This record gives sequence, C-alpha cells and structure tokens, in this order.
Amino acid sequence: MATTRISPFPATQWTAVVDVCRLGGPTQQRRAIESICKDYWFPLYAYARRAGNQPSDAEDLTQGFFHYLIGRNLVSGANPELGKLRTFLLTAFQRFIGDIRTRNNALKRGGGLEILSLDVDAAERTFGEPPERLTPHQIFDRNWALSIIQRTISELAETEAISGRAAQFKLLQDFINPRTHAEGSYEEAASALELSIESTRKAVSRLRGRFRDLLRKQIAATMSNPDDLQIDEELMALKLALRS
Amino acid sequence: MSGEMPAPKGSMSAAEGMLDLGFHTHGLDDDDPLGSTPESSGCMIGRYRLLEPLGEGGFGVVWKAEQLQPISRILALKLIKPGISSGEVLARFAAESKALALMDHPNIAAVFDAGTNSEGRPYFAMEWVKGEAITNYCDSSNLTIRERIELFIPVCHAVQHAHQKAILHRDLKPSNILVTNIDGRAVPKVIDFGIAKALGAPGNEGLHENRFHTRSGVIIGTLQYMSPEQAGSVRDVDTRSDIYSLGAVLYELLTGSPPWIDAGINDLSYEEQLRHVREQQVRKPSLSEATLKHDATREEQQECRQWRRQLRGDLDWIVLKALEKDRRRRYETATALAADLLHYLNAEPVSAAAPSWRYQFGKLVRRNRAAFIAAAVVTVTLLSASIISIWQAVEARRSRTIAELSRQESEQNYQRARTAVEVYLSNVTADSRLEGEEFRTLRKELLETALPFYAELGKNGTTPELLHDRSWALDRLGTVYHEIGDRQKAIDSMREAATIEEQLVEKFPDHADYRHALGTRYNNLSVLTREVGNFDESLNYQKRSLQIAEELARDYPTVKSYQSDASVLRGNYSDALSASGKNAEAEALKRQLVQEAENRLNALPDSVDLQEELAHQYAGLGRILAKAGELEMGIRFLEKALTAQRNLMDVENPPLKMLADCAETSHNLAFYQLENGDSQASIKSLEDSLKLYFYLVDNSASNADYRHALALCYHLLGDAHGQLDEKNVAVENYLNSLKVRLKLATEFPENYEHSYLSSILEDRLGSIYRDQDKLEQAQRYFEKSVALLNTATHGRPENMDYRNSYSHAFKQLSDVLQKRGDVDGLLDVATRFSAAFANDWQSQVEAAKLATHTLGLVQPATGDAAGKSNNQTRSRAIALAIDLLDSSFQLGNPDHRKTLSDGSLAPLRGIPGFDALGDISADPQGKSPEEFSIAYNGNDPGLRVWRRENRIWNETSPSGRIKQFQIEGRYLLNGISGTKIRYIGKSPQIFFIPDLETSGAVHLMMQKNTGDWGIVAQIEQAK
Repeated sequence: MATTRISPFPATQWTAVVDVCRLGGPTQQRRAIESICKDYWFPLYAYARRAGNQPSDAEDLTQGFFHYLIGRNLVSGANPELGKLRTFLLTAFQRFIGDIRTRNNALKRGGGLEILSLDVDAAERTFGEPPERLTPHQIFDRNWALSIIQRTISELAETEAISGRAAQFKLLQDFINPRTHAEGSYEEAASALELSIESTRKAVSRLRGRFRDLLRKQIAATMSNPDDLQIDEELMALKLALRS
Repeated sequence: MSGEMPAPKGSMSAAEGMLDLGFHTHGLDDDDPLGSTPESSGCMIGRYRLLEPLGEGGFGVVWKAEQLQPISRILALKLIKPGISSGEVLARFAAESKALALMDHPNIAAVFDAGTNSEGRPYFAMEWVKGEAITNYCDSSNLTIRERIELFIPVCHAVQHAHQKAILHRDLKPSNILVTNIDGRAVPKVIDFGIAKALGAPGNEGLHENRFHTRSGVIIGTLQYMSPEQAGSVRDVDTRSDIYSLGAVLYELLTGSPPWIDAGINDLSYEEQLRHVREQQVRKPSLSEATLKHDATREEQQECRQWRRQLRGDLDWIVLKALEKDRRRRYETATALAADLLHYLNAEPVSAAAPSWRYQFGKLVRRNRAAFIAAAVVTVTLLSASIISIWQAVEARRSRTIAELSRQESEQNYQRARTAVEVYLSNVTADSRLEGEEFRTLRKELLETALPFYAELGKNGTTPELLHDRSWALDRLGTVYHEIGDRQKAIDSMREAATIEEQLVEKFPDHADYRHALGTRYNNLSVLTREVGNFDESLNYQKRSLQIAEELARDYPTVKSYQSDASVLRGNYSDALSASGKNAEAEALKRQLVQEAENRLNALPDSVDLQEELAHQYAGLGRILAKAGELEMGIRFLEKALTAQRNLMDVENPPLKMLADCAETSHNLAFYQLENGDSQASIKSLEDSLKLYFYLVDNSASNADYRHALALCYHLLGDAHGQLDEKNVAVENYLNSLKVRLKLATEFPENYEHSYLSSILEDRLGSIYRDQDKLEQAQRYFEKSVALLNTATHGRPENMDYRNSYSHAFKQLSDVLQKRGDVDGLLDVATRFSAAFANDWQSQVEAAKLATHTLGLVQPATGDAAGKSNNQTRSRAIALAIDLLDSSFQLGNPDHRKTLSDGSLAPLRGIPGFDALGDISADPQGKSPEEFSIAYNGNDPGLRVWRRENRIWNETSPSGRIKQFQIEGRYLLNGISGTKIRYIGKSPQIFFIPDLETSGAVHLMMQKNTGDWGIVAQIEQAK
C-alpha cells in the first residue's frame, strides 16, 4: 500500500462511518475504518509516543489499534461516546493501550496485515521528542487540532486550485491567519497580483470566509449530530488544547 | 500543498488564530481586522486616551488610560476584542449600568462608562486599581492565615453589596480581586462587576444556549472558579454562584491553589473539565495536595504541618460549605460567609458544622456484608453459630475395635456425608452473597429439607455431633423464618435449637463450643421474643446469653472471638433493657460500653476498627436515649456517631458496609429529629441517607434490603414534609416509597411486611387527599390500603399490628364514603369489615354501627322511584345491622344491654328485629339461675335468698328487708358468663350472677367504685 500522507480531502463523515459499521458488511466496515485511519492516525501516534513508546512500538500500537477497532466492531456499538470522533478514538485508544494483553498482541511484529503504512519518519521529523510537560492526552488533542487545521488549509488549497486561483492562494495564504503578520505588506502582495490594495484585502477576507466554512465542515464531519453550537464548542475545546 | 504534517511547534498561538476564524463572526475583511491592527499608546478611544497596556484578558486588552474631559483622571479601559457583536454587548451593559452606577462600595472598583470606539469596538471604563491579584499579594507579603482571612472578609461584603443591587459578578477569581495600597493599608478591590454578564459569561442561559458567548470563542472565567451551575449543573445562576467562586478563591488563599489542582485537571478535555466542576468533590483544604508539599525542606514541612493544623476543623468546614455542589447547602449570602469567618477569627463556634455529606462516585467498591436496618429499629445481632464442631467423635472412636473395622468404614462414609452436607449448607445459607431477601426462600427450603436429613442420620444413633449440627440447622432455620416474618416458627425453631444445646451443655460442660452455641441461641431467642412483645422473657434470655458469654470470656481469655462476643452481647443486653422499658439501666450500661470503646480507641487512636466500633456505640446510645424520651441528647449522640462515620468514609474507596452504617445512622437520626419537631434537619439527614441508599442499591447485586431501607427513607421524608405542610412534596415521596415497596412486595410475597408498609403509605396518601377534599382519590387509596392489609392479615393472621391497621383502614375508607354519601359503598364496607374480623364480636358491633349510620344518609320513603330504591337500601342496611348484632352475640358479646342501648344504634329502635334481639338477650333460657341463696356476714348477717321474677331480682335479707335489682343484661366476667344486675335504689350498685353451668365455687360479685370486681359471697343452692 502506498505511503499515506494526511489526506487533503475532507475527512470521511463520521456519521457515515458509524452507519456503515452498524449496517454494512465486513468489507464495507473495514473500508470505513480505514478511511478514519488515513485521516486521524497522527494524533494517536503522537499519543503513543508521549506515553513512552519508541517510534516502532508506537507504530505497532497505532496499527494494532485499527485492527482492534475492526475486530471488535466497536464503532457499531451503541455508545454515547460515538458522539464525537475525537473523544471516541481517544478513549478507545486509551483502553486499548491500557489493556496489556491487546497491547502485547499489537506489539508482536508481523501480526496481521497492516491497514496502512504510516509515514512514521515524517511524523518523527515533525514533532521530534514530545514536550515533557504535556500529557499524552494533551498531546493527542493538540495534534488533533493541528491536524484539522492543516487538513483544512490543504483542502482550501485544492479548492482554490480547482477554481484556477492556485497562484493567488500561494501569495495570500499567509494573510489568512489573523494573528500572524505577513512578511511584507498588502502592497507587495497587491502588486504581485496586479490588484488594488482594496481588492487584495477583499480577497483575503473571502479566503478567510472559505477557510471558516471548510473548517466547520471538517469539524462537523467528526461529530454524529453536528449543529452550530456543537461545532463552536469543539472549536473552543480545540483552542484550549492548543493553549495548554 | 500536499498533506504535510501539522505545523511546526512554536506556533500554537498562530494555530489558535486559525481556529478563531472558525467562529461565526463578522468582520473578516481587513476593515475590521481581527486584532491585526493593534491599538497603540496615544490612541483615543471615545474620550479616553490610551496610555499603556496593563494586561490581556480573555476578552480583550486592558489599558491604563486617562480622561481629560469633563474631569481629569486615570482609569482602566478594557477594550473588547473585535468580533463580538457590540450591539448586544452594549444592550446588556446598558441594562446593567444603571445598577452599576448605584454601586458605591470601598471594595468595588467602579465601572463608569461603556461605549464603542469609531470602529465599533466596545470598551469599558473602570476605576483604575493599581494592585496585584489577591493570591499573589498574600504570597508575596507572606501573610498568615489570619491575615489572609482578614483581607478576604471585605471582599465578601463587597460582593454582598452588589448582590443587594441584584448584580452578580459571575467571574470572581483572584485576578478580579486586586489588592491595592491605600494610605498604607492593603485594600482589596473587586473589579469587573457586571462586565461578565454583558459579555455573556456562563449565566442565565446556561452554557449551551449562550450563542453569544460561544460565537466569540471566548471562555469567560477559568473553570477553577466556576460554579457547578455555571458549568451547567442547573439551568439558572444566582447569587449563590458567586459565593461558590468566593469559596474557590478562599480555598486558594488558604492552600495555595484552587480547589482541584490535584485532580490532574489539566489533563482533561474541556467537556470533562466542565463535568469535573459539576460533579467532582472537593478535598478538604487541610488535606489538599497543595498544602502537602512533599519535596519541601524539613522546616517547610514543619510549617506546612502547622498550617494544615490551623485549617483543620472549622476552616475546612467553612470553605467546603461555600463550595457545596448543591447551592441550597451553601452560604445563603456573602455576609453569612464573612460572618462565619469572623467567628473563626474570634474563636467562636461557626455555623458550618459537619459538612453536608458527600460520597465518592466512581469505581465499584468491594462488596461487603452490610448489617442493614430499618428506621429506628435496633440491629439484630444474630450471632451465626460456628458449624464445624471441633469436638471430634472421641467417645465413639475410643471404643473402636478391630472387629468394628467395617463399621468404621461406614462411619467414615457417614462422616464424609455429614461434613459434605454441613459444608454445603453453611456455604449456601451463610454466604454473604446470599444474604439478601432474594435468597431467603432458597435458604429456608434448603434448611427445611436438611432437618429431616439430620433426623434420618439420627436413626443410627444420636451422637452429640449430630445433635449439635441439628441445633445449628434449627438456628439457621429460625433466622430465616425471622427474616420472612414468620415469627412463631422462628421462635419454635430457635427454642428447639436451644433445648438441644442445653442438653449438650449439661452432658459435656467442658465443651466450649456447646456453651458458645447455647449463648447464641439465647441471644437469638431474646431478639425473637422481643419482637413479639414478650419483653420479660426477652430480657431473661439476653441475660443468660450474656452470662454464658462472660463466663467463656473469663475461662478462655486468649480466644479473641469470645471477648468480642461478650462485648457485643453487652450491647444487645442494653438494647433488650431499652426495649423492656428499663431505660435507666439500659442507658447506664450503654454509657459504660461507650466509655470502654472510647478508652480502647484512645489506646489505639489510628485503628479504623475501633473508630467504627465507637461510632457504633455512639449510635446505640443515641437510640437508647432517644427512645427513652431524651430526644435532644439522643440526637446529639447520633450526630456524633454520624460525624465519626463520615470521617471514616472520607477515603478513596469506602467499603459498602461503611456507607450502609452511615445511611443507617443518618436515617435513625432523621427519625428522631422528626420526632423532636425539627423537620428541616430531618429532611437533610434523610436526603443524605437517600444518596447513600441509591449508591448502595446500584452497587449491590442483591440489594433488596437496601431497597427496603430506601422505601423507608422516602416514607419518612414524606412524613417530614407532611409536618411542614408541604403536602405535594410529601405525596411525591410517598409515591416514590410506594413504587419501591410494591415492587418488593411482588418479589417477596412471603414477606408480608411489604404489604403492610405499602398499606401505611396508601393510608397516608389517602389522608392527604381527603384533607384536600379530593375524596375520589382518597377513596381509591384507602381501598388499596384495605386490599393490602387483607393480604397481610391472611398471610400472618396472628400479627396484631396488621389486624389493627386493617381495622383502621376500614375506618378510613368508611369515613370517606360517609363524606361522599355513598351508602351502597358503606354497606359494602360494613359487610367486608365484618367478614374480615368474623371471629371478633366487637368488630361485628362496629360494622353494625356503620350500617346503622347509613340510615341517616338515606331519606325515608317517598312515593317515587327514587324513594323506592332508597327504601330498599334502608331495608338492606337494617337487615345487615341486625344480622351483625346477632353475630356479635353469638360470638360471645357479654354485655348485650350495653350494646343495644348504644346511641348510635338508636335509629334501629322500634324495629321488630332489633327489639327481638333485646328480648333474647335479657332472658337466656335456662342459663341463669332463678333462685339461690348466700350467706352474708356483714350488715344484717345470715342467709339471704335471691329470687328472680322476669327482669327483677329480689333479695330477701334475714331481717325481712327486700332489695330489688334490675337485670341489665348478659355479661362476661373473668371468663365466666352470667347476668349483670343493678340495684334499684339510690346508690346504683352493680352485681354479677354467674350462670348455672359455671364450674367450681360460684360467687356473687359486686363492682366497686374503682371498676374492679369483688366477691360478695358464695352462691349456694342455685337452681
């Protein structure tokens, strides 16, 4: 299987996954869970690392976890935790790691087919040694938040590209974040784009709007009954995660 | 832009900014950039000029600013982040500002203005307070506990001031309480009043519905100081929410960190943190992690210990009371909190006594035996006998010879069989998991089938072992009968068991086992006889039991179980004394036991067992005192016991037994508090018990006993609320109790107590509805009560309590029917009542009276159809009444005349059937003598002749004087039937003439003024 990078496409709808796992056949279930794995393995890996495992062990645990999800068909169980994918994965993973037997099984190399190859090297490069002062839970949440943001940016990039605005996006993307001051000013970007400053500002504003929409969609995808309030709550929770 | 790993570290804040975009905010264009154009010093915001930034908060930046017009002053300007709909903010603020303007308190930083700048960003202008957060100030100035409290008290007053103006703060935390220096004094000032609400802090709309709040993506108030209501435990928020926050600040002042820093709070997600706020219990300040600095130097540790010692006790209670999850239990007002703190400083008693009890959620606790009891009923300590008889068949073996080898073999088989059965029986019947009501039937049947087995074995020769085992089985069986309410069988079994052991003890006086077993039987008999009301017998048994126990303890000083048995039995003895009404003795003995327990505890203060024991003794003493009428003292001891038990429960995983003990004590306490008239206190105690019972019910597999207690608890709660005239709440509780109770009744039909108790509940409910004039419902409940008691009395016909209640239930029903004028119903009740008590002549009379009463409700004949049916009803009623009266006479009603002349039967007079009754009773053919004589030795001594003529008796004295007596009617005196007569003259003396058939010496009796009867003379020659 090809090495998977974080998918640029919107995450599979969590509700759809749950439904498939409840109603679908084994192949469909497997595929559904695989899609989750593709999108969300990194925070789990980060958790495992922070919990004291070496990269290869962390990889095995992550892989093993997905087997575990499939094998136990946990997703289909009527479980209040299924409300949010983030919490569901976290608690299931915690249980999985905490259960010594399943853990040991996972650590037996070569046990079962890999669901997907995780790009562990890239992962290691990214975060290096996890900071000591954060707990595995915090690391998980933080990386989840970062994953979501990154995914949204990527998706935004794709959609802009599809609309023929790839170059514009490249120039303006640094302006999207209200907290960072772009290197250079609007003037430079405006002239590079051959637009007025006013138009440039408007373009940035539009990008922000689209980012917002995609971000909310990403988050909604991880919930079973998303509404505005819940999405806001999740946003807040993720913000908190970044702050700790 | 392929999928890369998440952003490199170090830009968390930047990432946060991206998330900020996710909120539904306006102003995405650069015209109103999200914070990208910072204000700078010198900017004008409204009429204020920014000087320097003071700090950044959750919702914006605080600047030091100056105002020039109309007055020149320095103030603090809080500039709100853009993206918050200013319209809403200002609208809210306007509402608050009127009140805010009225606030004038030295410890409150005034808010004097609010507005928006040219770009539409809201700001608040406030009094500038130069100071540091109260917690930092205390630490940096090294204040003592006393000084901290003295600094904190004005803060309470400030909050109170605002509350009186109906302004909540909603965001009290150390950073909002600044300490500034005014004229050399440290003055605390509370800032940001009213702002939190304007910005939409967690408040009246609750966390979820506060769109405004979430839209801005701001979390107002860190969770540490947030009250459970703000975290969503309850829909609304009021002044008590601020008091919680004050409590949290106080906590931090005293321990160095806010309430649950030690719970690994930061490890949790936001939602979990909120849940934590709502549910997680707070540790006492004196036990808080923060005060327990493990890695400190020795000096620091010493300081720490001293610090903690100061916190222990009153300060703990005060803080915890302010931090109660249930706001009804918190301080009502901030001044109340301040007052208690002041009391503490002045070494006066504080109002926050033992804290309202809290318990641990969470992991399942080890299941333990629970000695579980009903309200105000004493623990029945039935000591379970040891079933393995140590005594080996010495006698038999001694005489074994080679020739008996085969017999030996068969005996071994026999022994093995016996042991197997023994072990099996004991495991099954004594296993703690099978303690509950669910298994009683099983155990009973097992034991009942086991008994013939023993008898069967006995056919091979009754060895002492066998007898001993049989005695044990009978004891166990008796226990089981007791539990299902079959008291007579219980006593019979236990007596038989005791007799067997008595024989064994007599034969083998040196066998400690038999003596011990006998002591156990006596103890159990004491309990059983007490329950049926034979108090003297009960006391006797208990004494004997205690005697044996003390002898054993003396003879075998090293056997621990004998020592503790003696101790337990002494406790039982005091209970027996109490039950027999010998209150003084009971109290004296119990006090002694308490003293001993205290002494033992003083010797080993850390022993949890001894603490438990002492608590148990306190509870026992409390019960005895309360039962003897000394309610105040009794209550005090029960409270003492409860405090001790709660302390014992203050551990990580309290054993279920501990929880059960606490529930029981709290429950008993409630019972006596209610008796003492303190309904409120009783309710609090019951609510505590209730929580515990819920937990116990949920965490025990066989939880019928706990459910029973739960039902009793609800029942008592109903009574307590009823006392406070809160009828609706009372009804609710009765219904709750009924639900549990009825379920128990269906599950355990053999235990008629459930039906009985259910009937009491139905009765209560019926009474309430009747008092509210809701007669139809009242009737329904009373009917149910009657039906339940029907079941109970059929099940246990010998139980007098059931019978009395049954009678009462009928009366209640008839009462309501009378109010409703339901004549048919009443006649029906009369019939049922008489049938229910078919062997009791008094009840027949009662029923007859009831039937007669209906005549008053039905109008006499009129010509029309209605009148016709009325007539029929009347006839029915009359016929029924007469029939019932007749039955009463048949059943032996001794005083016909009295009955028939009763006023309530007056409507029947003149009716032929009724009058006929009178005739019959007056002249029992052949029963009463017609003539007799007596030898009188008093005045006018000699033979007196008595002769009867119709209804008059004539007495002729030797002097010739004749006295006349009127026959009153039939009478039953001391079991002898006869005729009652009255002297026709000035002084109405009553005499009694026994019937002819009376055996033995027959005497003429006279009734004295006191009502007692005395012998006049012996009757002779009666005919």
